[in-house]
Amino acid sequence: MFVVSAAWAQAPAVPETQTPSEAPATDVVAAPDAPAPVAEEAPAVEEPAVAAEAESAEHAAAEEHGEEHGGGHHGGVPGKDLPLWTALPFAGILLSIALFPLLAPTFWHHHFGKVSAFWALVFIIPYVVKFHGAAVYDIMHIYLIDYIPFIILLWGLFTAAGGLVVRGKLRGSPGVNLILLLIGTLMASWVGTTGASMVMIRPVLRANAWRKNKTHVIVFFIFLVSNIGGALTPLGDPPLFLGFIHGVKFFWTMNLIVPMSFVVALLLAIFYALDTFYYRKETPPKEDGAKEPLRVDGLHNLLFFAGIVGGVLFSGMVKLGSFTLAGVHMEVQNLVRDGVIIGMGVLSLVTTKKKLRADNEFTWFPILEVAYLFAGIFATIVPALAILKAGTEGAAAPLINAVNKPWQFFWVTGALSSFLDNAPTYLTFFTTAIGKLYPAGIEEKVAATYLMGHLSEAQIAQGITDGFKYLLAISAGAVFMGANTYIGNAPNFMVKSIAEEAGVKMPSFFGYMFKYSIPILVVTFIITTFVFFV
Amino acid sequence: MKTYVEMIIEGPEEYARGYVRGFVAARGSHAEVIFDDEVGIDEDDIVQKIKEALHLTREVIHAVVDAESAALVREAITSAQDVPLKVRSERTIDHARFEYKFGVYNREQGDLIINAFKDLPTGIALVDHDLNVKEDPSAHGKELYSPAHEYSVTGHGVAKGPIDKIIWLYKELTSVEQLTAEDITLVFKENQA
Repeated sequence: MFVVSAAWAQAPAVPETQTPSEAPATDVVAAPDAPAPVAEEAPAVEEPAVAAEAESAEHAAAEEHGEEHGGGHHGGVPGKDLPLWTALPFAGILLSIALFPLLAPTFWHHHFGKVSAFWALVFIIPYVVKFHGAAVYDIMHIYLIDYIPFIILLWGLFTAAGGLVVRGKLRGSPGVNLILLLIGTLMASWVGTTGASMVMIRPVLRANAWRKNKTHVIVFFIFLVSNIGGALTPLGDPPLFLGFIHGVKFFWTMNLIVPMSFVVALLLAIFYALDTFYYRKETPPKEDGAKEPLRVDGLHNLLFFAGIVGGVLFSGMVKLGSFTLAGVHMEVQNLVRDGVIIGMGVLSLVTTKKKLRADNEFTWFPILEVAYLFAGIFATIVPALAILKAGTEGAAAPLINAVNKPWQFFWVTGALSSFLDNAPTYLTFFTTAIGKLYPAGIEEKVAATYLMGHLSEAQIAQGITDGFKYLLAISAGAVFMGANTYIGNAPNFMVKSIAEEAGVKMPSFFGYMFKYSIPILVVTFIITTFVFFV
Repeated sequence: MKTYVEMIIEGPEEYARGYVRGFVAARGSHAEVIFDDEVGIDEDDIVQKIKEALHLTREVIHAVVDAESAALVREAITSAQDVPLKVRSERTIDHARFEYKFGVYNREQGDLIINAFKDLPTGIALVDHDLNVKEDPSAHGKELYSPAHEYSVTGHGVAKGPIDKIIWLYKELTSVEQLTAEDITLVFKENQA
């Protein structure tokens, strides 16, 4: 399907001013406001410094052979040469995703693909005309390295989740609701927030069908299952998978377990108190005969989830070599990962009875939405990432200079994730942190190692910034604060829509914010900031 | 057409309600007494409005009583001895009105709304009434980024008419969760030009 090593993409001009990873990692200096390195915070996943150095060495060797690396800065347009307005199409597509569903839902439902294509072309055509091969390289790179694996993972998770049906009917008391929310929250990190929402929303709706006051149950479902629960693995929430693709280790996100548990515990306590208050006002149904124990059909799909986890883990732990495709450096183990995920999805389709998918109202539409919209997002994000990666030498220097401390990253990433899709927002601030803490041109995977806090004592002594708290803050901000509005994360709207179709009165866009997310979530996040990020 | 009065009663709300209901029941009367906890009746006293919003005990409650039973309710209130109750005012109701709006995406609830507006009791008038039923088969299933409903009934308007009919309609419509109705505004005889 692809032509390996296409000539046009192999020879993009790299200006003399560009200093990619030729700069040795040891030249990195600490940012002025960076926290003192905390060696003990770095989890001992492997010999980190050795791994980072080995990667650098491998990279340097690869460069000698004229290969391009995954960091994406070798053949592309240098970010410091790009003006800020080149990121306007990126802002345009994100604002379209945020505003059209609210202002023109019918138009958006039928034409979102065209709107996405419009913004992509508004960016791609002038970019290619101006920068030729370097621009083509950038676009090929982001599609091959980011977009395709991203879509394959979401497709795999969505397909397997679509085969799981939770049946039965419980009575929606505060205790039962609390347990259902907890199950969904724990599930989200392993089947994705979309998958967990899809599987758990109907049991929650059925359990509470008899209740008059149930809007808050669905709102807390959005908080916990559709967002915060996805914080622990790259499978949980798309931003974390983008982090994984860009060099964050699979199990590193487990470091979010403490802040996540803290937030989940606070929210569940608030939920229980609120639900108890409303429950006492309910008139119980005349008979409880409709109660039916919960059971899960299509359980064999859990094997396919395990296969997907295995595929993703495999790609992070094994190196099978690399090759160049259309000028882009590709790792074989990543292709194996994508193949495994596709295989798991196909097996799920083949082995799951059609009735189960019908009972789930399974269609391919949500994946088509993701595919169309993220095709536009990933194209238009190219200049934004390049500018941010250029650090203080790029046009986004004021932003980079303004965001200094981990708590600032938590809130800026979170605030933008509240209104824009959190996956590109995460990538933007992941890149901002690299641009801020490490010199322009550093190998992205090496920078990711430093952001994870994997530093040797020698590297700490050399003043390399320990980015652990920064990455923790960015990850938490992107995942947690997607719950702040309906438009913060994709499953939010899906849950709202399913609940409305089941007859639940859901708050308006501003009603959700002013009645629920600002008084409950934002206050929780303020407390979280003081506990974890200051 | 029956005549109704609005009584504004001063006293702890739950006590007043319980006492009047008990008194009327003890007399074996079929008096129609509807308190503002059953249907929202617009409160013009801002302090009471805030208390209502905060679920605090109010000292002023509104009751709609059929005119023939007004004397009985008055007697109940004046006979309360443990906790003093008082009728602050009594006005004859000319008609009542309330505003509503709805966005329903569930066929069962949509049918309830459509039928409620179809079989209106005589005397009720709908002002600026708008009801749209839309079906969009392309919106079947779930959406992540472009939410749309396969079926929707949306609309708004103002219902106006005799208080007993308005109360019936109010209860009927507000049984549908996705319909929002403002409190009932009472218009009194003495206000009429």
